[in-house]
Amino acid sequence: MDHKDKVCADTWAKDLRNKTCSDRPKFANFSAHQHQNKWEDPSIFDYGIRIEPSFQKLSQPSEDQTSLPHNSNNEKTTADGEDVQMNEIFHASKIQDWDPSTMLTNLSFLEQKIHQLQDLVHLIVGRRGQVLGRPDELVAQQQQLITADLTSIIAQLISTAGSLLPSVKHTLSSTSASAGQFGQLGGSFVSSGAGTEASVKLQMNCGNKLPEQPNQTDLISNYGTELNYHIEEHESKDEEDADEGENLPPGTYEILQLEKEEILAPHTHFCAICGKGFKRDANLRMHMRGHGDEYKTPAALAKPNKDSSSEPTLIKRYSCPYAGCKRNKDHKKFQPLKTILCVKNHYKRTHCDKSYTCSRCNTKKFSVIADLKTHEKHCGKDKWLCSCGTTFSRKDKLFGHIALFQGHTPAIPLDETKSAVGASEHGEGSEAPNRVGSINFNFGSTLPSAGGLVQNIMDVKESVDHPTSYFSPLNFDTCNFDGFHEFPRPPFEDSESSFSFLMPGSCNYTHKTGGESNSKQVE
Amino acid sequence: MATTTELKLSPPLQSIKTQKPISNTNFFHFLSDELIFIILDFLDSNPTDRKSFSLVCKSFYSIESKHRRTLTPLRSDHLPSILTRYTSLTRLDLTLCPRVTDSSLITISNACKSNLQSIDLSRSKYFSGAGLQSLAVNCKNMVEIDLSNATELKDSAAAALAEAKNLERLWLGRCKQITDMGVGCIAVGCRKLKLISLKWCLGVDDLGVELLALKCKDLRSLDLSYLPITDKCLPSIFELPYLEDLVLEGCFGIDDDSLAAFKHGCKSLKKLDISSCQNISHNGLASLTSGRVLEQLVLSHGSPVTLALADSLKRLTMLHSIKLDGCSITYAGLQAIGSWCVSLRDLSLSKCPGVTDDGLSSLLTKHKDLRKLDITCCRKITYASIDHITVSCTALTSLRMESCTLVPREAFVLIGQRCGLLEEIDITDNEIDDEGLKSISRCSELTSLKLGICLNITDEGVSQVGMGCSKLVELDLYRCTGITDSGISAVARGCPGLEMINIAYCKDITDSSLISLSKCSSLNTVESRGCPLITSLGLAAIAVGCKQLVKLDIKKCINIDDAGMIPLAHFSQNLRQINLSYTSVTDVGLLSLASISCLQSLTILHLMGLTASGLAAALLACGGLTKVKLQATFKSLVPQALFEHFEARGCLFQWRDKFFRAELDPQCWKLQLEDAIP
Repeated sequence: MDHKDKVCADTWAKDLRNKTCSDRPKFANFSAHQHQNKWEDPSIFDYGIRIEPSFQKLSQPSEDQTSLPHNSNNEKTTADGEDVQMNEIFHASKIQDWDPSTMLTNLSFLEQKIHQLQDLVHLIVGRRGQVLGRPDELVAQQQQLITADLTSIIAQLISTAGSLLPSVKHTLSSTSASAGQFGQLGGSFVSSGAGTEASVKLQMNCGNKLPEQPNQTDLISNYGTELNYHIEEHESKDEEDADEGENLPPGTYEILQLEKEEILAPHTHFCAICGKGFKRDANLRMHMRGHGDEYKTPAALAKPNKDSSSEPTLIKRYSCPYAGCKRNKDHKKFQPLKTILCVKNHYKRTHCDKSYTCSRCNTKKFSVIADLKTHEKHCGKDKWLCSCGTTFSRKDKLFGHIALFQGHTPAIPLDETKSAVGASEHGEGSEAPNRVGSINFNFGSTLPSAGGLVQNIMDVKESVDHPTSYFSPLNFDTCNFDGFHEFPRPPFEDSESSFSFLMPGSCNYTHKTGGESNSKQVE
Repeated sequence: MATTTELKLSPPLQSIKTQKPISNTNFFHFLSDELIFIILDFLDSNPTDRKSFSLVCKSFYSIESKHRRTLTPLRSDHLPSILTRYTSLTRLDLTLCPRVTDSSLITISNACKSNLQSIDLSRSKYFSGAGLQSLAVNCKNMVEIDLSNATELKDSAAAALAEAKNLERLWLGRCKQITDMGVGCIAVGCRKLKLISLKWCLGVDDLGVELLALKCKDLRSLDLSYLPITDKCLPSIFELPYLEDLVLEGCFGIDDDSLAAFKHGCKSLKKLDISSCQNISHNGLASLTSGRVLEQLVLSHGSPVTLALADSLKRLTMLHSIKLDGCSITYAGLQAIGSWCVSLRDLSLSKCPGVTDDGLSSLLTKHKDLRKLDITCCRKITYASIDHITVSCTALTSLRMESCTLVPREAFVLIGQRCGLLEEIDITDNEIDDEGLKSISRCSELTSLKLGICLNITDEGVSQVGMGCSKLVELDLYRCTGITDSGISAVARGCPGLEMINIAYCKDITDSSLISLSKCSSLNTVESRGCPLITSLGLAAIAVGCKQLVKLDIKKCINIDDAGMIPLAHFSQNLRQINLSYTSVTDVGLLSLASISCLQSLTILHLMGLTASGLAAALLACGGLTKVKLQATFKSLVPQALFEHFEARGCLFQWRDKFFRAELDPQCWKLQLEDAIP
């Protein structure tokens, strides 16, 4: 497997180098300047937040292009560098157990990659400037190469970033497992051995969809936080269910009570420097890295409450601010809430309007969006029906219901053949996202043996015909960001939600289909 | 109860019948309908008697129509007219109809309304929920429905059935498409259920059965054989207050832990069948001891019968019947069964490899009251065992000892000497000789005697049986090559009540045997395979004499030809099953057979004189066929559309492609048979 991958990488590298040779002067003469510029300009790190200014700034250096070879920065040609790094990445992703030293290596690798990425961004910006002046085919070829480079770097970034998270081990045990999930989606690479390959492919898809770099980096951080989010969400749900039985004697814990406004505030973590708000602490920490090197240390990036674990602190429990609520500390039978997330969900569920309506059944309403998503997952699939009209998602629940109530009887669909058709209709209904998912992978699976790297080139080649669409300013439309920001569900929860992980992506996809290249790829 | 009075009453009635047309005085007008009804009640033994009665005159016809309660129609086509004639039917048996559709059921339900209490649909799969719904809605007093083998029935049909609120007995064997949902509907709808059989309903599991046990508290009998149930549903089953008969055969999901729930309930259970449940050991059986009234236990093909297992059952004080067929059994286990304080009436040890002389003796010293003993294929037992059995169990009525190959011929003399009450003996494949048979002929109560593959017996012994056992109903002489016409004629003379005879491969039998057998007017089954000397003449005699003939097997009787078929077609109007393979029958014979309206099963392999057109014509004419076994070559010769038509009528085709095999000499055949047995 490894060997094969390496071969792929080599061929790819060779391929790339050949192409590089053809237009080496132009390809080579940009990066030194970029390099200098980059370190001087702190706003570059801000791309996640303020795209427009950074974009402008990025385009500035493209005006003048000095003749330093581009590899002075990386000490190798990009292609060679890729080769080595690919191997590194395979190595990294194979490490199943998380340990800090690997994390450090990965982090520095990430850092290096981000630098490369920045170089490329500069390059593209430079290209754009040139395109205006010289609309010839050479430009298109160069852009193709750059894009190829870009995509692979981003792919590596994402996969390495994924392996960084210590929590990944708990939920997924390894990145390859998560990649395997995607692999199942694609259907063409099910074996776990193909895990890394699959993950690279997946990321590539993202890369193709969103070739603009700032966006990509944001995606990386998002990727990480989504995972985090998923874990926290999961825990909190369990806890809220479980703490019904918790019997802490009063006084053994500290009661905190948040105000209503605090609970309903969209963001709870704010950047001390720029003031941007975040829902999660991890998001903030990711963001903080952009404000300087001091925030990039492992200590700064680590989960803050882990440090305080040495000294025993009083257990924290939360009270609901709503007077009269059982979760309010003044209630006679007060039952505290375990975490802030519990407080939030409890408050929204119990004391707020249910503003989210299920778009499928148009009857069920929810105040917590996660609840809606959970419901939507099985909405319409409640096929176990009682004569009283109640539906159940599980047969044993229906039978429990029937056993309990006199006169209730299992209701069998009037026409059983119809019900069979209905089931297949369900299948078709859920196929829609499915199809989107598989399309995203389809062009990956057309060359199953070649692996992700070759694939990478293929994709880029296709898109070369329409460079304008690929680099069109449309891509910087905010909807792309929104798509990823708003996307509420953890990417790796299960196969179904992995559809939806792709779903917003594919929405973006269609959104910017101003370029035919995209639609062509879909076909 | 009624049998004795019936015997006394039937002769005068027959004389009345014969007198009626002669006297020509209408003294029957003085008899009220009710009185004639009472007389008719005793006419059940022979269905043709009722028919002749109804054909006497119009008033008799109407009386018979009003009197009849049960009906077994042959074709569903005639149902409308039949149902208008018989207005007070309570039971309808449709097992002989090749095809029962929804429209038939709707006709029935509209004609019979709430009179109908019982319907048997166990051999048809062509109806659906619509027909059942009509039955359930219109026949409010329906108590009993048999839907076995309705493999196409779906849950919607079960839901329709749930409308029959008074249903008490329901058979759903092999209704494989019915799931928990359907059973749930029945459980909620039919609250009065006392008996339900869900054998082979593979779609039903714990949830459905549990709901059934929760909702139908009147259940007496529950058959859950081969269901994928586990210990989840058993506690609620064991809590049923009146449950008497529980069959859990082949429920592989049930183990010792499941039976532990038995401790807390089921005080009423009388019969438990847990055969083929491999996961139940003596630990699980120990929990059965709380079942105080348990009378019958079936542990066949289960875990080995050891000391521990036998001990775990010894406190079952009401137990009188136990079946251990196919279990490996130890000496200690048999000894422990011998030390139980109960006295067994019925013991089955067939195909138990561990049964020895010592073990059987130690068991039987205690259980002297044994009535039924099955030691089939206990190949280790010898003279000593038979000696012991006959000394201890003198009250034995049934002894099955097929293939006890080590038992010498002298032992069989003891059986006749000591067990005079025997009614049923199976000595197939044994060393018995004429002396033994002579001794057995003393058992004057004998009704069933099976002597298949007993190569040592001759006419002498069989003649003794014919003289001694006048109540004989069933005689199996399969491959008894020493038997000739004189033996058979002695049996035919001495046993007028004979209903079934098997003379297959008794190659010396000729027509004279059949002619003498034709005196046995109750004969319904004749198997005479491989008797090359039998001709159409003998068959004609049987056809004329034995009007009750239902099943006839004349395979490899190569001298039987069309001449035999014509009298058969004319006289044996009750014939349902015939095997004509390898005979000399041609198109003509087959076509004449087609006039037998009852005929359902036809096996016609290797008929030299049969052509495709003859076959097609015969099949077309024979509307009641349900099963035809045919040479595969005909598949291409007869138009496919025709076969589709037959199948639509409810006929199933079984295609065979076997080569013609020459007959082996009997000794050689037996040697081959012994080789085949491990």
